[in-house]
Amino acid sequence: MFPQFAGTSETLSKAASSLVFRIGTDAHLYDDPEDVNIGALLESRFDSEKCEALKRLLALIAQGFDVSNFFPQVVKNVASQSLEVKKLVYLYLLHYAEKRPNEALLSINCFQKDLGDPNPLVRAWALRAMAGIRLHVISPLVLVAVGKCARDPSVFVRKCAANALPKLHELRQEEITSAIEEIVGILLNDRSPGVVGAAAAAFASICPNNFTLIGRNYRNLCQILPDVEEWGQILLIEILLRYVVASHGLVKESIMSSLLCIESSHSEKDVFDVNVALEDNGIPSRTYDSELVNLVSRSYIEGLGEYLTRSSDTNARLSDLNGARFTSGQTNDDVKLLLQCTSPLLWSHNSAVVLAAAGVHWIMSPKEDIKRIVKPLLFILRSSGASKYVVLCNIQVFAKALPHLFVPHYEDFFVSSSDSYQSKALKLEILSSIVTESSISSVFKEFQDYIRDPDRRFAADTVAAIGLCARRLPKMANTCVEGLLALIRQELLTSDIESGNGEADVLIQSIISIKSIIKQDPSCHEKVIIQLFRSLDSIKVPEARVMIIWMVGEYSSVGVKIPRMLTTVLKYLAWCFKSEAVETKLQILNTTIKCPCFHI
Amino acid sequence: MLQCIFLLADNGAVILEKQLTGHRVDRSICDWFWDHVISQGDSFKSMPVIASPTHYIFQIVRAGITFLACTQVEMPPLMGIEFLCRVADILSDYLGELNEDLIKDNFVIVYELLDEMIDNGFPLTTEPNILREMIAPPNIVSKMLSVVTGNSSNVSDILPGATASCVPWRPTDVKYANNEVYVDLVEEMDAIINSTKQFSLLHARFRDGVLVKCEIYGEVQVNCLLSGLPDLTLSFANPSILHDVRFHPCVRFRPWESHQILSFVPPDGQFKLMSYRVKKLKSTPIYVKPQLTSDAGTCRISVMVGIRNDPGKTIDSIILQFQLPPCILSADLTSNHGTVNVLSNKICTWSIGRIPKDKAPSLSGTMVLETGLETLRVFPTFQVEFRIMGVALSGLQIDKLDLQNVPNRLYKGFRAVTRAGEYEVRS
Repeated sequence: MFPQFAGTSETLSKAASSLVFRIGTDAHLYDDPEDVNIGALLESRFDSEKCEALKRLLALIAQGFDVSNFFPQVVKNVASQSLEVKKLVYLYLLHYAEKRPNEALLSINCFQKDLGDPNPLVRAWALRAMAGIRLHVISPLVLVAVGKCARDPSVFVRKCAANALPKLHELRQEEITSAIEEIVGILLNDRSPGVVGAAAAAFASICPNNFTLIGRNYRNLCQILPDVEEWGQILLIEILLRYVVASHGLVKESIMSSLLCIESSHSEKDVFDVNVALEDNGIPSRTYDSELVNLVSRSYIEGLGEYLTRSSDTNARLSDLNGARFTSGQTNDDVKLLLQCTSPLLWSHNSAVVLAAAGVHWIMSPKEDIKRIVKPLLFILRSSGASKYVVLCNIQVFAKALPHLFVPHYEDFFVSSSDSYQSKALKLEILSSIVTESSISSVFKEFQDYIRDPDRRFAADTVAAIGLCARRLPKMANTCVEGLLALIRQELLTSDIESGNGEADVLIQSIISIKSIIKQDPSCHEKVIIQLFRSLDSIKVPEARVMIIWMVGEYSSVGVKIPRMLTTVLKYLAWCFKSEAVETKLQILNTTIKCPCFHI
Repeated sequence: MLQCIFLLADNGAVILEKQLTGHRVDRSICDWFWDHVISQGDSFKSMPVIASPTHYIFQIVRAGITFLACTQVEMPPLMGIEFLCRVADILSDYLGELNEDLIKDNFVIVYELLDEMIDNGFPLTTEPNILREMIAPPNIVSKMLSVVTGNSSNVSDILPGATASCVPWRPTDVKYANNEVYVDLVEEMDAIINSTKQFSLLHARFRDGVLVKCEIYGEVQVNCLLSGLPDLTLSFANPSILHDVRFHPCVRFRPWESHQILSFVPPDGQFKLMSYRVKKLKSTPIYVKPQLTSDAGTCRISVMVGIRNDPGKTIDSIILQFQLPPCILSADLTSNHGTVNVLSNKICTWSIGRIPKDKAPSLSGTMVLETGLETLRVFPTFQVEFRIMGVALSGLQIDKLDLQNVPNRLYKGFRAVTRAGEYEVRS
């Protein structure tokens, strides 16, 4: 009767309960940040009032308002003894430092005082804030501060010193570059793993090609790698890998170099077969395309980002580093050490670390050991929906190059209804590239379920995957075509094919798949071609009709029966010409021109 | 490295932004993002990495909150995604759960946390136990205190000792009056069950499905309340069943490699020691037998649920969920046990709870198909949830837990639970 009243009382009680729940939180500050005079609070003698004012400013920042006009008043509070006030001031200061450089300068003295504080937390915060201001004028002061903190007794402060270096470097001041790189070197040599991780991040963004810094500490870095924090590990692994490629070249027993070899000799054989052949010979054949090898090793040496942005390779410093060089993983200690220290990282709980470590093995490890990356890669598929997609993208690359690695694990790529559409599509692609004669029957059983999925886009992708499987396993071509024809018959029974809910796409995709299978060996599939011709009358979707009509022209001379029925088909086409869509009309013309050519 | 983090509410509004480097990212990028979410729908929301005209965007969605991180430089994409996941974990741990109001109510803590977790776009401190020492989580006591005293500092005055020690995950001066350690096996069963269809639609009887895939994803969760610097070794009676493993950074690799023994100095409090996978399980604890028959524009559905292999403990919290296909106009569903709910987005939920002793729960009803559609050609997949306390269905058994450097009085506790993970039955 009074739904509106019921609604109000409900919201009221909801509001009341949330009010009770919200007491003591900062909720009121977020909701009405400006209901008091913030300026006056900032000038207060009491830390608690200052805190409140700063929280209100933070709320305004969170909501996207510009409150930089309070800058001078906020900066004054940097001298506060309360750590909470300090923290909030820093948060505000760093958000606006670039906008109000001159006022930011006022805080420098305070930071410098704090850098001498006995509490390491205060020192670390001061350094972070000071470096975060990013002003050319103060960069010498910051450099001195970072240098001092890099030798601080507290690990945390040294870590923050490493993090401060990229901020300093971004100011692009030539005169301090060498000093910055020197500090990077010092921190890379630190005995605490936490500092080394942060130093690796600094190295990667400041001087990613200064390999002398790595060379000096290579063994130490490898040994400390398993103890470095996960985030540092990700970057350190990449740095060490690039160092090894830069100083020794690619490993000749690795997948990477055999792939290069295959591509350059334009072999059509499966990579695995060639690998076996190489192993038999003992010595890999020297058919590497030196340009390609250069290209690949160079992209590792310089880091992908830089490599892609640089247009021509006129970098003189690097020219002596490359030149189709290879090393042997069996004799090279640096390679062995890197493989050894990254192996346990395949068990890391951080999937980015696992992937980085797997990358090292892909590039460096001898072919017979590459298997060890497979299980860890498959296991990180279970970590989160977002990372699943990225991991699948990587597995797809690995599986295309070496399908046999993933062949026994095809079940891991079975689609679950909670997968995102992108993940489902990737799983289908991977499945169709690793399917073998022993797994094809279970894979097809799966595919039958996917075709009945309510998401018709996914069903169409499944049909495409069936076509790919048939191309990969020619023995299965007949089974695939039969299945697809049955599907087409079923689709045609469905009356809602034109209602635009994706059924048409499934039908079109089925014909595309059949078409690609027929193309492999048209004479074997004469009956199929005829069946398609016969179904022309019931298939209404223009894109599908076009393809079948194209087949009329293309296979008009295949077998015995087709040439005989050709005139009937052409008559039929002429008869329905008027009512066809434009694209179909064009294809009918095209086909009629094609057909007589064979027979005259 | 990451340049900015945005938290978006489920209507696309920015709850807060945190700039990380000198390269400010304007929040207009969130408008660009949300415009695409609206125009491209769910498939855009499930893209973890997106290239916008100006930035690469990483996104994860947790409990309706979208976490976005922007960058302009090359970086490992998983690093950005993993970091966002870690942020979401830590926030939901601090706030109890995640929702827009909780984030707004505690925005200062969120800012302070983000500031400690990432510095200049590179992760700084992400170990939950250390963060707890630096920034106190909001709790009833501190809330009341702040109401009474007006003082609400949640920032610690001192640097956690762990940041300086050689075991960065553990505080140095932990003291407990009662020393206790609890080890929990928390398992999720992932299964795909395929009903044998092919013409079975015509037969009016329930078909039992075929187990396509059944495996356990498990975690060893430890709650460690021990004084000093304890050194623990945990061994399993049957480690050979473990197909894959991943470890917390505290686990030493050597002893695992040689003897499959977990040797570690634990963090303080609750943490995930290890995760594992056991593949190729032969049976599931419950069966779900769906049957759909359609004719002349209506579809009859019936689903039966029951115990297949009694695990010896009660199976509870059984919930069945499925999305009605888009071609279904309306559904009238009833059950002889539990409650059935159909939401406006055509998600149907059947909450069963426990299976009663005297009858087998079943759901039945009719559904009306779209006009012009005679029979149903697409079939829903049923997601099943359940929970069994006291059992690890993988069969993994803890052999013993040894402790060194610990006082004599000590309590060790072991528990297990199995839940359904990605457990689905296709109809």
